[in-house]
Amino acid sequence: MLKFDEIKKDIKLRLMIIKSSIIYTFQLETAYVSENWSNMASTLFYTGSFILFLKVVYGNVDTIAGYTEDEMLFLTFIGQLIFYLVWGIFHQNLRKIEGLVQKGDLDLILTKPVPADFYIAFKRISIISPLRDGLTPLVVLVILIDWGSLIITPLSALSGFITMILGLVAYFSLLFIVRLPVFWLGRGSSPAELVYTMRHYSRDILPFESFNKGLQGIFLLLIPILIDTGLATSVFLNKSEAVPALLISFFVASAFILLRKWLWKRALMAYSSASS
Amino acid sequence: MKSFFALIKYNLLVYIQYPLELINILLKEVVRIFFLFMFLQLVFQNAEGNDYTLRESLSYYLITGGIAELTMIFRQKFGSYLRDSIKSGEISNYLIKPIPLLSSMFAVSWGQRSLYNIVAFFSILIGFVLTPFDSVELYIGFLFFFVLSFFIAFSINLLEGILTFYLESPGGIPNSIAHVGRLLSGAMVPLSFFPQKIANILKLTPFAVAIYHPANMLKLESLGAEQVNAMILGVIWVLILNGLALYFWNNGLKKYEAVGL
Repeated sequence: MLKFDEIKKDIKLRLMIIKSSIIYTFQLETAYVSENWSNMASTLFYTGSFILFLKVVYGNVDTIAGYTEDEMLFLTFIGQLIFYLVWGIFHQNLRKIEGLVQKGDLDLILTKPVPADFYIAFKRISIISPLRDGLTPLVVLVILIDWGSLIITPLSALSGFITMILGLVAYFSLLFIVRLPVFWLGRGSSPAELVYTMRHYSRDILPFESFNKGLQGIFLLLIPILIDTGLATSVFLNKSEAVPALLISFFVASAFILLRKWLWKRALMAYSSASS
Repeated sequence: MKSFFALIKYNLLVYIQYPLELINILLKEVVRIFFLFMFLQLVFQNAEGNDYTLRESLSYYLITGGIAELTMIFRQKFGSYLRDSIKSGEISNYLIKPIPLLSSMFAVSWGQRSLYNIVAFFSILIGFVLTPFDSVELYIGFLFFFVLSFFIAFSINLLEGILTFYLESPGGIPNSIAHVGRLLSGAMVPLSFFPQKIANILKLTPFAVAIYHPANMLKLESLGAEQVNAMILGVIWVLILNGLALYFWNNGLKKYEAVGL
């Protein structure tokens, strides 16, 4: 009973952190109006130029790795959706870990009665920015895709969605882990930048089927950057079997959660500052 | 001139303190080219009627990527450095010193990208090795276009920085220009992939003069009328864009206020 109460208290605390993060970030983001409009224009131009790019390429080919133009647009849609989710929920927060450690500001967080790793990862949760910047491009993609040509069943949609969520969990843990070298080396952005680069170039234009078995293994099991985007899209479109995809996603997400927690403890043991 | 190179050298030396950074930049470039190559292979397995071989395409992307990085035409690091300096008031440090303002600030921002510039330089060299140009005059033509690219990129960066004098938060405007520019310049896909009429119009833009025309030298046997016309057009673009940029820059400086100035 006591254990159950503790878990309930833990969850309540985490939900309170998330609620405060959302309110605080909302106030910050609505402060500058012109920034809002120009950012929205920027993402619209990005998506527009990317769609045009695909149109030009498909003017010269019929398929890419077996993906028709509509299937490729769907891959782009999933990739963009994931991008805005990641950006809004934890991407900006994880980038600040290096600064927190280097300046010793982590002390202030460690002295708070909150789970430090959770607090750092979800300190600012942005709703307005991803909605403002991402909604219009995503709607454009939804309009452009010929949904009738895609082979999506209710089962494949559900499986794809679960794969996407598990992939997000795995990717979050990966991003957290690649920020931890700062505790030992004093600088920690290099591995993270490498992961971002791999993610950026593989996310929107390379279907899961374009990778050979070796690379699929690497980007699913060791550096899980493809689960929430390429693999999830493949499951959605019935190009990959749902059960193996779900099993792999669950296994990788669980393994990376455990690895993250273990490495975080080790990192804290290595942490020192003027006041600790 | 001496202070220009001294500033570049100083900023480069800061980064050399971190050899891991250089390795990281190299690895990122390898990753970029690797995924690009994967995509090109997929496209060229199925493309019909396209006149770029896989090797030529790889050279093309190495060269365009190198030019874009060296000139900062899309990342606009010089422009964002100007923007941040104006917003924070840091530009006052430059205004009170007896040094040429724009070239000094350019040297600082270019120096901060030194490691990326070194990688970009070798990227272009590898592009040349993979698909050598057919004649010396094409290399000379490439150099001429590269100089034009440099000045076109300079003016675009300067125009971005100028926005800060007139807008509270110009944020996404330079990004928008970069996204569109990447496609229209031929950096994302060679202009030969576009329908002929559209490609002919795009080749007239400053982005295409800066990126597509120098890289397209690898497809030519010698300089022709199209390249000479593009060079003349490039000179006109350089004069117009830099003229506008310098006019608005001087105008904007007059509006600039800071404590002590």
